[in-house]
Amino acid sequence: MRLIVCVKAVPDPGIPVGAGPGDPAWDPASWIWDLNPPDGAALTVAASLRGTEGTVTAVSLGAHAPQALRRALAWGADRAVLLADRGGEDLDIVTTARILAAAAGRLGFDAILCGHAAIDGQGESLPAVLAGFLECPLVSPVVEAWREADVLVARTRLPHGRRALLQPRLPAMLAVEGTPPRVDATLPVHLQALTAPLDMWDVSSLGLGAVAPQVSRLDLGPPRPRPKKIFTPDSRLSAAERLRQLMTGGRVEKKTELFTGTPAQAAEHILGALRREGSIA
Amino acid sequence: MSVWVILGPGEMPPASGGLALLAEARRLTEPAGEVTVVLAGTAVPVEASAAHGAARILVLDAADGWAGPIVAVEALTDRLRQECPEACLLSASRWGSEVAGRLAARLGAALLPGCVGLTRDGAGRLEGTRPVYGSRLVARVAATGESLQIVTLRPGSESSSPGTGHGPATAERIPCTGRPDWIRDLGEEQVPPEALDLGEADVVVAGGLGVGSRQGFALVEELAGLLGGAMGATRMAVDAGWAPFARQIGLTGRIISPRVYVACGISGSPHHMDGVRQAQLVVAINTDRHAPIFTYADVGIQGDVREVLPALIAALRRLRPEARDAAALLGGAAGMPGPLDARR
Ligand SMILES: Cc1cc2nc3c(=O)[nH]c(=O)nc-3n(C[C@H](O)[C@H](O)[C@H](O)COP(=O)(O)OP(=O)(O)OC[C@H]3O[C@@H](n4cnc5c(N)ncnc54)[C@H](O)[C@@H]3O)c2cc1C
Repeated sequence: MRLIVCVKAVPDPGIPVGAGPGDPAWDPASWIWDLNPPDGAALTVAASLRGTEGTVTAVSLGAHAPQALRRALAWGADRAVLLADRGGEDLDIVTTARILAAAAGRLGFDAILCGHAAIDGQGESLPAVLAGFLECPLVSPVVEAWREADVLVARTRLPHGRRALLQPRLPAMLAVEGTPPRVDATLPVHLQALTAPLDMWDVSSLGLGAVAPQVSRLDLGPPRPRPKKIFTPDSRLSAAERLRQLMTGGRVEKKTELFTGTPAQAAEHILGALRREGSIA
Repeated sequence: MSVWVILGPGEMPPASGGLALLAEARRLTEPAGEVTVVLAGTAVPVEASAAHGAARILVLDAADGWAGPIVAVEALTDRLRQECPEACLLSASRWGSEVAGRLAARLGAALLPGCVGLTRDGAGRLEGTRPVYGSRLVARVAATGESLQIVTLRPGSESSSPGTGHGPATAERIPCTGRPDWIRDLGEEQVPPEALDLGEADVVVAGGLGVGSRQGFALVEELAGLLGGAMGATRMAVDAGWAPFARQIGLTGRIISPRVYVACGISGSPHHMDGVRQAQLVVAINTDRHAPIFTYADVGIQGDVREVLPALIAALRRLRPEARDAAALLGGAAGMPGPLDARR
């Protein structure tokens, strides 16, 4: 099976992003960039689908793409393609997907995978747009996938703890949920990936004509602080009760009528509450 | 300015998601503009949308009542090309995101995904705000060209205000051609309560020392299964060996925010309750009327779990005798389409 995994470099969520321009930590160049974790999960799924004769090709673009691609090589990709473009970071989702679709078309594939979301919040909807350009089915969010003879079967997450088993027509796009396996590659494998060659493809060679972003970022800043609710004890209460409320962090006790009927009545009482809440029909 | 609101299954009025998007569209089109609503199915009365300010309603006439993303995109592409509205608003749900993404690819539109706020400049260009880098920063984004702008809004982010009608709206049916066989449905399965991740579950049924035994815990598990939820436990129950540590809820276990939390034989110590402070509906069953758990509970039952749980399980089974699996009991599966229907 020929598999493509679109990967993305994201800033390490643990590092501080700085308070604004002027703060050294504000500069993206000072951040630590690594593979988007759900993309790592997609690599794991791809590796399990590959079989003996298949290939897994990791594809990425953007200024920090080499970091993501090297991690992908360490985690089982056979080949890494770096799509080089001067625009770099500022591409919008539709343009990014257009470039990735063109690269996928050139590589040829049976399934194309990526993480269902980028943890930096900048990749939302990419799988859907990519599936749109490739005119192929989209299966999302995949928790597991495997091959049965010639077909691919994916298990996807539904609400209420349900899972769907789906068999997409190939080629298909799979958006994979989760985090990469806890067992990391060995140090020698990582070291080898650090010096492995990356295939460099110039975006202008993909025959897309001029790629101009359709969406631009006007600015980036800290979120407006949400008005925080500060607990103040009810002034009508006694001093002792107010102190008690302060000490318990303002937890206001729910004044519930205690139900003391027979077990069958109690069951009906609970069912009624669940029905009102909407948990059962 | 003319704005289309495209609503998928589960989002159509009177569902709050759809109403909020409609309110947002009305706000953007004021004072002179028109809101067109697309309903991705015939199973919803169109009047509900008209009453909330839609000037025109397009109903996708899909074969089985609901139009999946691929069918909807197929049906809407040409109409959008002809009519050239300035913007389309969708919910950032699974259905909405797929339709928005595919339409953007088809039409070469500018896509502003996952916005939490939306404003309009004088020229009718939209400006979206979206959280980035794990919500530590907020980006303001806007379309650069003159092309169609497609926005998906995260649920709960719209500034909804009560809707007002624009008088009678016209409704038009758009025929949908067959359902593409791109994805074969091989069926559904329910993750058993002892395996379903505590963080994913809408309903968590947890047991404490009051459950009494490992056999007692089987009842906790069975109830969780019937409600399509996950099984949880207190530290005491884990220490007693009735449940694995992965099921422990509380300060030294998992911190969760389920919609429903059913506490069986749990005293309600702060170490445990810290893990479920965000639960919306708390049901507690305990023999001790002075147990602290009752101060957290919305529904308090003074009773023995060994009697109440079997009665509750029996009542749930009576509700749908054939329902071995939980799916049939879930509210979502009754009249509303499940996500399965939305996939096609
Ligand atoms: C540092 C620290 C961290 C901790 N972290 C956690 C944590 O993460 N999670 C956690 O759960 N605990 C934690 N604990 C322990 C916690 O303080 C409590 O001891 C524990 O939660 C109590 O568990 P329980 O409610 O099952 O047992 P109990 O407190 O013994 O309560 C049993 C309850 O069952 C009732 N009961 C008895 N028989 C029946 C019956 N037949 N039918 C109905 N009700 C009955 C009793 O009335 C009683 O209220 C921690 C403690 C410490 C010190």
